[in-house]
Amino acid sequence: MRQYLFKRFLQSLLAVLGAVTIVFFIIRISGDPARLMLPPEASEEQVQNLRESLGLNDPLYMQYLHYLADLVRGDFGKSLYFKDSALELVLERMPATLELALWAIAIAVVAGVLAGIISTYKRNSLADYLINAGIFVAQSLPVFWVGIVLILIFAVELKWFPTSGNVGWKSIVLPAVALAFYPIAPIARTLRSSLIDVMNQSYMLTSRAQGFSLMKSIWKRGLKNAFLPVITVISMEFGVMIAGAVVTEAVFSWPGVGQLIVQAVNNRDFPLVQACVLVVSVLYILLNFVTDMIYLWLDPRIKVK
Amino acid sequence: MKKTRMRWHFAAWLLIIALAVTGCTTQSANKGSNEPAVSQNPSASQNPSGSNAGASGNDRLEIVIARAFDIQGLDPGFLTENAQVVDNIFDTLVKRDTDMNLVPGLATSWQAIDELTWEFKLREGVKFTNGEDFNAHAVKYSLDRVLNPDNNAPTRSYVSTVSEVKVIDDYTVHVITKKPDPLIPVRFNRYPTQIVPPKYVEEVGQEYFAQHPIGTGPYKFVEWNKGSSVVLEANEEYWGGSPTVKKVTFRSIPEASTRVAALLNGEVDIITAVPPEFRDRIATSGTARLSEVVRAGNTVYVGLKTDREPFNNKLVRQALNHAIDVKAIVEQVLQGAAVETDSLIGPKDFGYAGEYDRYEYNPEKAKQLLAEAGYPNGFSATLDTVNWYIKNLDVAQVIAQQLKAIGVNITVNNVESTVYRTKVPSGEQAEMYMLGWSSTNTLDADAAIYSVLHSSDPYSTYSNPEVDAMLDEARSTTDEARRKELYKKIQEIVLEEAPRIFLYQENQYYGVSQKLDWEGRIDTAIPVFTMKAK
Amino acid sequence: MATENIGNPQRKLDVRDNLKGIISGVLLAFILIVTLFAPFFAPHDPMEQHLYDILIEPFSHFSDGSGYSLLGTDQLGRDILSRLLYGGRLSLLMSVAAVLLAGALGSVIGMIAGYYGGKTDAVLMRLADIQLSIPNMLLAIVMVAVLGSGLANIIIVLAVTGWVDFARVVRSQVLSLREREFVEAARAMGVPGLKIMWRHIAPNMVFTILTQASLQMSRMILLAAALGFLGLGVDVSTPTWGGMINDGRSYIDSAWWLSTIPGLVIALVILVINLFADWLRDKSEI
Repeated sequence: MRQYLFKRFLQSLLAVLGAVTIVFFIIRISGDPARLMLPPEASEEQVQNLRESLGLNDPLYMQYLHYLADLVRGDFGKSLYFKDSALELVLERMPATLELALWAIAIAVVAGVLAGIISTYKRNSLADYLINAGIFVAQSLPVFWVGIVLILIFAVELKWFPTSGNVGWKSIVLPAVALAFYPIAPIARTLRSSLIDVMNQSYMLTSRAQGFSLMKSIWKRGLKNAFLPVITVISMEFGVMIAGAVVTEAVFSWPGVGQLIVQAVNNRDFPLVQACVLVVSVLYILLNFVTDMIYLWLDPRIKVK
Repeated sequence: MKKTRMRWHFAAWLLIIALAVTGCTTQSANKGSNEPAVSQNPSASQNPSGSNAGASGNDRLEIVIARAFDIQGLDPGFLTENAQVVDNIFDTLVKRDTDMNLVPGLATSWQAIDELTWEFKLREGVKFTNGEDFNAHAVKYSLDRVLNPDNNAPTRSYVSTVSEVKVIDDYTVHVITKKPDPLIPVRFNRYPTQIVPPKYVEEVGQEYFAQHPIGTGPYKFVEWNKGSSVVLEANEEYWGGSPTVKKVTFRSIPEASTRVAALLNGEVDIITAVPPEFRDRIATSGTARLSEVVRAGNTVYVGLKTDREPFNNKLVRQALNHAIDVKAIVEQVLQGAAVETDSLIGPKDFGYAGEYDRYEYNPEKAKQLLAEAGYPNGFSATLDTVNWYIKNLDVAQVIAQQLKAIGVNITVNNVESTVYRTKVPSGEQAEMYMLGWSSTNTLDADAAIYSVLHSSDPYSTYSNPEVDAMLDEARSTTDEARRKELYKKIQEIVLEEAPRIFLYQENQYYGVSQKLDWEGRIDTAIPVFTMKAK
Repeated sequence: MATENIGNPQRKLDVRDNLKGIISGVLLAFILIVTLFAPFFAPHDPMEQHLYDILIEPFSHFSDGSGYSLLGTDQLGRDILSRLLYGGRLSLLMSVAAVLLAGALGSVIGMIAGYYGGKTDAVLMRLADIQLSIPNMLLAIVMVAVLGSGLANIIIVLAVTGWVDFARVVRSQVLSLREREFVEAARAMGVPGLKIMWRHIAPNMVFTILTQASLQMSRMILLAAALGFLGLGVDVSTPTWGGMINDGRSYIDSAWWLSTIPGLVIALVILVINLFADWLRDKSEI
């Protein structure tokens, strides 16, 4: 078990290294990284100086090592546009994006669990069919479009919510709902199929035979097993959501990391782009790691490969 | 049981990871707090309409102003954009009232004591908000740091006629110019001449100062949430009196529809850059009203690189002008938010020489001229555009289509704002490029046209020695009649030469909450100090 | 008492799931024909501006006598239906190209990894994992930032985000096929690896690859639209679905159909493709 934990940890570390390497190469492919890291009006001399300090005249593997060393020290460079430490800028915006993702996943979980339970309970009925169709459609709707329609209906027409920004508790409702649409489907479906599985297990039949109702049986014995795959899916979707928040934040002018990334890309602010991508990737990998741990914790019976 | 112990291990791991993540993020979050742009103020909650921005009776008046861009820095000497925010933190020697007359600011009086010297008498008893005294030394320091070529101040050219600022006594300075300059008072009304505190700036350095400014103005800097808002609060010791508005937040909301909705919902009190399609909505809403300032914006045109083919041929340039239906663009695409013009100078500027209506919309004539010039089958070109102008992409696409009709094939290139900022002055923009210029707050023809016509200026893609000479003369003579005459001549020459496609001058529209008493200004300033509740 | 019945699998599949396939297949064909042959079907030139008929509502006439506009016009008086069709053509062509590229690359890699196993497999899969450590959306954004926009670049970016899934799916199929008798036999007879892969393994994977291709197709249309929406897509004058939604945002209260209709169309197309892919998947699991 400890071996597995260690192995997974190493794998995550490797993944982080991988993300870092990808970014390293992408930036260097596009031409002169020193040019990219400086404002456009920088003089030739400044560019040369930066090349020296970045060690761009060194062999590639040396550059790579320097790059890693800088990152470990927390030096991601300075944002060209905001003139502040790139890392700090990203960390500043992180809570807003996390907040959005958390609320979105919460909504998705509630909706998904409800949908999953109803469609299991009323299997093959009209309700089941409608729900299935509904979540299938929800998953096909582009999130930025959902956002715009929500703004149109609830902010412009009904004026119940603000159209943008982060002003008070009302601001998070629409963006969170928009972001929640996509993960509802996997959550509901996973719950449904695992509930069905559970219901067919032998210990369930035993419990039923003993006279307990369906719901109670699920509650007593099956719930944990039923929820296990769902928790994995939730954790996975949360990770995907962090990245998917990019578009939602653009639609609602939500001041999170997603909006920062788009701004950074539009401004050709490469140090900031680099910082954003790395921080989000690390978070993403961390979430995957946590997912695995949760899975293991809830069911240590699972054989390790 | 081994299993249970394992589980506790995992629980512990998870907890540690979760704490670490939360710890890291909230720690930095505390540094740049994500506080909402509108203050939750106890007295404000008594307002029955529920809006938590804006007037709360006679209590603290706090407002929110939403613009389309965030600031890039708050050092008036080193701005690369307009001074709307900065003008509230700092003062200039000369100010303008609502009728745009020059009135005393930090200087109580000024006069030209000889051809090359202007004397400014300074206001006594004024302090910076950190306690430093305002005096002649501060004026000299503020100007010197901009004039010093080593500092690369981006708007140094605005004051480059100044050769020296001399301290005569604590409250008198002499501004000495290289040539006679009639515009000195006007120059001291705008950036980069705001006065900064010498000791403080020396202590903290330019970069820190740009993020933590201190001035003599009616407002003090509180904080800057990068990318979203700047917060200022009233300077109760202001020499002009205690401001009515106690706190102002400048928010940045790039999407127009979002900005407008924020105004209509009461989240913000003033918005700038209202696109044409939202004017009616604002005007007919109960919560806000539209403030229109005609031709207060940029004179937008399509610049042509006249040093290369085929734009070095006058007939081609004239042909291009005849091919564009500016009326349709102004009426339909811009919905009347601009005024068609072939004058390079705005009507409120000194030196305005009237409208000429030289190039009527006539595609047939355009084709004829092209053929005459040797391009019967047209040619191809790229048109750069940037989002600094109302509906720039739409206008560019209309221009492209209309030029296509005479055989000129255009590729539209929407350039990023920050990229364009350096592309144009370094001459790297496409051979056809959209640009807008105006006299902004100088209200003088020199500022409106010098930079875009004089062959020595990085923003000009035109070279005519006759025009150069006239431009230089006009900015160094104090004879007003002569200046007017020169500007008229320049306008006529340029009209005939057509180094650009003449388009229109933008109006400016502000959305203002009904609770606030304020109108937009021709000099595009937003002096919060002048705002009151209705 | 019987548990909630799983029903009679055979019969339920026949009726319901084939219906899914038929409906989605027909719709898909319709969409493909209408967009790929946009020049035939579009009532107007998508770039033609009618400056005196801007933002007219669906089902109105053009004032200059050029006819009827079924879905209204945008802010420059261009017919929306025509732009939708041309935009669809572009979106579909882009996605098809990207899927082909990703599919080819991913399938080849997956096959090699699955067949040869060992170190090759480990290295290739490690490569896949490394790429997976960055969320797709971010990877796409960064690549566009670096490579620049433009049709070819967008296709490359889309393909790069898609090959991994292909590789994975193909690899697991190959792993199971590898142990089958006919492959063992071929190997025993000394047939070279490549030939085995080509003649024996590949044909058995058509269904899997097709299913994956459909899934990827809808993903890529969505990703391309998202990039277009963020302003990182193909150039500005060419109509694209994502671009149209973004353009329409400013007019959300005066001409709401500008953003809503393209969004609906995207949703519909993705829905249809997903249905089709779902049906394929059901079929392949029998």
